[in-house]
Amino acid sequence: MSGDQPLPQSAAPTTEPGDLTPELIDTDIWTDEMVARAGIPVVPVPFVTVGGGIGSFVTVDYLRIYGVPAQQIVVLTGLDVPWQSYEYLTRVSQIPRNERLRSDSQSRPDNIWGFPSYALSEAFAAKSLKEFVWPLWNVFTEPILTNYFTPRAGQAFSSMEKEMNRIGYLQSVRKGQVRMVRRRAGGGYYTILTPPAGAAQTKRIAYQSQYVHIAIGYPGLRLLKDLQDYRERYRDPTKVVNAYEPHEQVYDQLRIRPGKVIVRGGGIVASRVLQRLIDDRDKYNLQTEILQVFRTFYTGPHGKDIFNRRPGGHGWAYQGFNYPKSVWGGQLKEKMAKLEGDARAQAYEEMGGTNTPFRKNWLEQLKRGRSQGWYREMQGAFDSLRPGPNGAGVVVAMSTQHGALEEYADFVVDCTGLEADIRESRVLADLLDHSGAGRNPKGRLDVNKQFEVIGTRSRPGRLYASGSSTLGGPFPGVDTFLGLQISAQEIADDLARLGFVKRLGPGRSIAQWWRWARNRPI
Amino acid sequence: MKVNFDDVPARVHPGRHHLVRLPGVVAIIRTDPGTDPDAANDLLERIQTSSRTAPTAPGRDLARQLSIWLSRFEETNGVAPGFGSISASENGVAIFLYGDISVTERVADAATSPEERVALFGKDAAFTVDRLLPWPAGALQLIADDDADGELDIPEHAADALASADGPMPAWAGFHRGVTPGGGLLFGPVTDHMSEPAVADVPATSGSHLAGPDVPVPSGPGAHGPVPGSSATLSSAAYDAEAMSDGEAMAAEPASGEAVADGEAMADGEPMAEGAGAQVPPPSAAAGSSVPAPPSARAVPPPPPSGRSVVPPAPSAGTPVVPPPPTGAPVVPPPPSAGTPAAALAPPRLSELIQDGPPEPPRAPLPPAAPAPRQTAQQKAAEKAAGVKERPQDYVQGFRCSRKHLNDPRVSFCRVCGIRMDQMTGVLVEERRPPLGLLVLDVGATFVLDDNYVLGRNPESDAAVREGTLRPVRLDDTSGALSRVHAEIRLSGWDVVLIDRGSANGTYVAATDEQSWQRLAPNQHFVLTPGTHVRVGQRTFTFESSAARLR
Repeated sequence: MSGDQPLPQSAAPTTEPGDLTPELIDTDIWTDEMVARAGIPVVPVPFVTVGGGIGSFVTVDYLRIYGVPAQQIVVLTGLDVPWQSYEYLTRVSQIPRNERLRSDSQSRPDNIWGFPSYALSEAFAAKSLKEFVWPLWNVFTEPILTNYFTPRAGQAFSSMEKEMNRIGYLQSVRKGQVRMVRRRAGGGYYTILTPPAGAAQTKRIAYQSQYVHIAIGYPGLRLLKDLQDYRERYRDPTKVVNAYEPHEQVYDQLRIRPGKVIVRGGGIVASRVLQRLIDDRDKYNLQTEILQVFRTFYTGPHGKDIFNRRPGGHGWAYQGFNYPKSVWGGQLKEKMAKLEGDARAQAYEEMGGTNTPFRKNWLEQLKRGRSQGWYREMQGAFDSLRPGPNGAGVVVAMSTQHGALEEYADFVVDCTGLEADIRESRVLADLLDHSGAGRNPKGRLDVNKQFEVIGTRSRPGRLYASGSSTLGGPFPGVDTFLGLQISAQEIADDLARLGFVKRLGPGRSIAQWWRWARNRPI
Repeated sequence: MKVNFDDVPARVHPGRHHLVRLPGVVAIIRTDPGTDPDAANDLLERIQTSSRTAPTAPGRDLARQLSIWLSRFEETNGVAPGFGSISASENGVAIFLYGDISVTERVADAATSPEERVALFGKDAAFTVDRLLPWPAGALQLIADDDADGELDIPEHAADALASADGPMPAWAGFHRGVTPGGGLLFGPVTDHMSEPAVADVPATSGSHLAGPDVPVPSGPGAHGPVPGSSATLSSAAYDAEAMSDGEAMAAEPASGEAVADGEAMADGEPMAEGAGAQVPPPSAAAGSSVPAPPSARAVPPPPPSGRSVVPPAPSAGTPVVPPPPTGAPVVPPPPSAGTPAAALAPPRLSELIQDGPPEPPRAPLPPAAPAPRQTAQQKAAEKAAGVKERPQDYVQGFRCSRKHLNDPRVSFCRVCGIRMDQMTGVLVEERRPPLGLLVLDVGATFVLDDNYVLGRNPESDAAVREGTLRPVRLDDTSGALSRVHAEIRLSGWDVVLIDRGSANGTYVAATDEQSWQRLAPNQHFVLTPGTHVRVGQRTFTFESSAARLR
């Protein structure tokens, strides 16, 4: 959208003491004197992680278990707890705490060893024989007899909370908004934090550190242009909604009177929204009519050759395994690590595209809907949206293979969760503009195998990044629990090589696992 | 005695200074050659302000204002022009003099010795003369002492003649309001029927001015006094209360005593309620001073000389409170005939001429005002550019996302485009408020919350709805549990507030996953959170919002 146009920097002509000066804003590498001249207080700390979401949490978890004291780590964040954003997004996209996540469960962010798994934990926490047997049976028989096991969202959150308290994570948290990270003359980095108004003496605080880790996650959603236009033009937030924002009112209204819904997209969220619509339909005996619009319509298994095929049908593309196992398995991982540039982009392209884990429950619902006539799927692209006659409903103008088409619906649920460009984040944009960071073939932050951001080294300091802003690097699937753990491990090992922390050998690892298992502080 | 200051006549003597009369105040400001004209304007402004703030008794305030002004003026500008004022105070008049201005009392005959008369001279004081006096018996002469010019051209005897209530000039021809050139003025004398009626809100410029003090007009106490048979109903509780408090100095005893005496006097003429005596408000006593009053009555000024008050009560007339017709007053109409007291005292209709004259011909009502011309788009744009907001309450302060959409400072993702809000450091900007969510009614209808709403069976009966400040949502409810104006939805900043408008059966709320209803206290502000169910009467609705609040 914004391309490479730099965002306007708010360089106020008059700066109060403790604020950024034009000199600082215009200089790529800061000296200690420049920061002192601006009157910004400096807090020295060896390791700073920016973001404070699950990416930061997992990295801090590794470092703490490796042996870094909590005082040597600072987490700069606006979140109260690491899973706050994640929980919000899963909740609004119809995965509340008691629903199961749709991602793979082979890793868990609260446990760097991955043992016991979520399935085992759930079994051991069971209060009845059936509850004990079901998860174990599931993981023994998947995916032949049963679908892949995934944990309940609530289980992921509560186990993270336990681990957070065990490692004393909150001791390291400093609240505020990170404005920028700049290199320091003489090594290391300055991270500028804007604390909440009134929380500090000055407007900014500078954290001077040897190592910086950036895990700010998605810069945000990017609602499609037609949807934004409709909202701004007709000031109507009610009939056209995105699945990643609260839209409970759609289900409220459908419960009261029958209606037609257009679901756009074919990803995990679309499957979850459909499931909610049909669950409500069955539960309250409703007459909801559903039309699903795919931009790319798969009629069957697809792929470039017989060894790279993926099941599909009725528009959907199903994951061979659950994500990220589907993109992370042995050979593929090896192959991806070796690819660079266009070849890597090509590989991502081949395994990319929206896809959805195969689940019997909602696929059976769709099958029933198709046979009873209240569920249809079609291929098409939205052109524009406008209010229906007399302000009721929405008229969607689409272009399809068979020409232009207009469809009326009471609601449009947009399930296309496009991610914004990394430049829309000020911190990342500043890295691109002033700290030498570059883009990878997928347009995200370019990192090497140790998840160090290429081009930003400030000897002897290093700047790392993990999470979805680094998607497109040598490891696919970085935006999953497992991906975050892999990157955290790479970063911790790299820091061990640099001498910041001692390597975690087998002996210490087992000892630490025992502490984890007994919920003892590190 | 309570005297309506503005009913007291004032007569102007020629001269070159400024004379001022405003409600509660008469004043003179000298305009000697070489004085600062701005000073006169300043003074006028002070006098006007005081008169406006307390038109019934500006005396003390005026003295304070004038002193302050004077000290400031003299500090910066030197000598101020001489000026003087007589203003109404709680129980008489306040006199404030500065410079060559004097106030002397004039009486028509030598009933009071010269020593007892008021005589104040501004030039005798080191700074100012500032006095509170009871109402004098005679007239007060407020003049500029232009001895050098010999401008004080009122001969002693002429002034005395003027000072009598029935002077050579009808009182309605006097100075009632405004600013005029002159050398001085004669203020008074106070006659009984200038006594202030107890109804406090009679405007100072009522017909009594025109009618002059000598004409028995309705603003006099007669109209409000206990006219037998008719006026008892007039004396409302408020009237009584006010009158009693006003007449404290007079005390109830003489009043009731007189009333009883009156009652006896006309026992054969008019039926008078037994209790009327007790209810007679003090103004009747004030009026009653024209009736031969016990000389011992306190606060009553010494009986003026010459047949002013020595009018015997009309025997069996039943009009005991008619102002006494002063003897020899040429313009005074004859006392109303005994047989038609009510007719004589009935207040005139607004359209009725008080003096004789041709009746006003009826005319057609004026056409309704033309509607305001519609603003052109250009004018609107110009106003908008100038920062004029059509409805300032529609604007809220929020943060802009990196794509410039205005958002609640508390949300994490933009409501329009979905970008994370923590990308930008918060700078509050004010813009028109976007819709804050919607109400989903139990029948499936929705209301987008872009304005304040009143909910009820007949919300149009609410005054704010008729004025157009609130928008009505009419709900049908056959159970009868829904009030006409039941509840209000108000947008406050970025919050949606539910207010029960004192409905008969209450407004109930329940959070998303709660089963029990909680009743709101009337007029309590309850901030709705997304998913809250609301029940009014037998109807329910749900508030939903897409605001991306993490908690």
